[in-house]
Amino acid sequence: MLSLDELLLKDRFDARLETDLYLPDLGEKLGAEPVEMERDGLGIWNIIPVNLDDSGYLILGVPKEDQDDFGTSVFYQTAKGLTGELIAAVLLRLLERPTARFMTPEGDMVTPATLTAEPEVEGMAETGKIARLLEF
Amino acid sequence: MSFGPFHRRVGAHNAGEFEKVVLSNELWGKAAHTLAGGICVQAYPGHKEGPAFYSFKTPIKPKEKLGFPLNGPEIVRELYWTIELEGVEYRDKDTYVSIPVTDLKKG
Repeated sequence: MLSLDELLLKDRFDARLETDLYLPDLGEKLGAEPVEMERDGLGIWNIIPVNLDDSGYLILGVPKEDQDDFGTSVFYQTAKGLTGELIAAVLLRLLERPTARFMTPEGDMVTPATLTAEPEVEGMAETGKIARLLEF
Repeated sequence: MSFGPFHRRVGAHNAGEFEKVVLSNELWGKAAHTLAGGICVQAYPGHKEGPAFYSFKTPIKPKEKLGFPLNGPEIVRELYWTIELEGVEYRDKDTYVSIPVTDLKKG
């Protein structure tokens, strides 16, 4: 079985966002089935990779045995211009759940960015591009 | 003072880990490099029943990662130990980090 820890290291994932969104709901919206990957000492995780084209990709995951009790961890690459605020906005839009919560693993709450595709708004063009890639 | 219990799951990648830890009273880790600021030992909080799990305590206070249950406030989801914590030591030519463990118990 593939090691998620090794994949994160190989592809230089360096940040993580936590949300109370349910992984199977995200998978259904994305039309994606989870795959299983192992983490060192942390067991098997259900993983959904989300391709963002030239913005890299996200890895959505939750421990398989805890899937029905816990929200989703989102691993991402800051070198691709992604931030927790952008990803929170995209996931919020994806599931249309305004009460969804987001935070860093250190416990800092994350406020979703305002989602717009207007390129003249500094920093927001990336969000619009990601939204289009996910086709919503 | 000791911290814990914490638990780890034994799977395909770390088969035989529990027996090695029993013999050495050390727990080694090297994964999760990029999200921990270096190689680390990682575990979940608490004790968990089941043949694939074992729990332990350690004199070294871990760092915490929080997460969300589907309902309720945020909680500690993962613990990890990196080399800058006092008592964590390198092993195998700096390939691994190691923490001392006590109170080992199969799930």
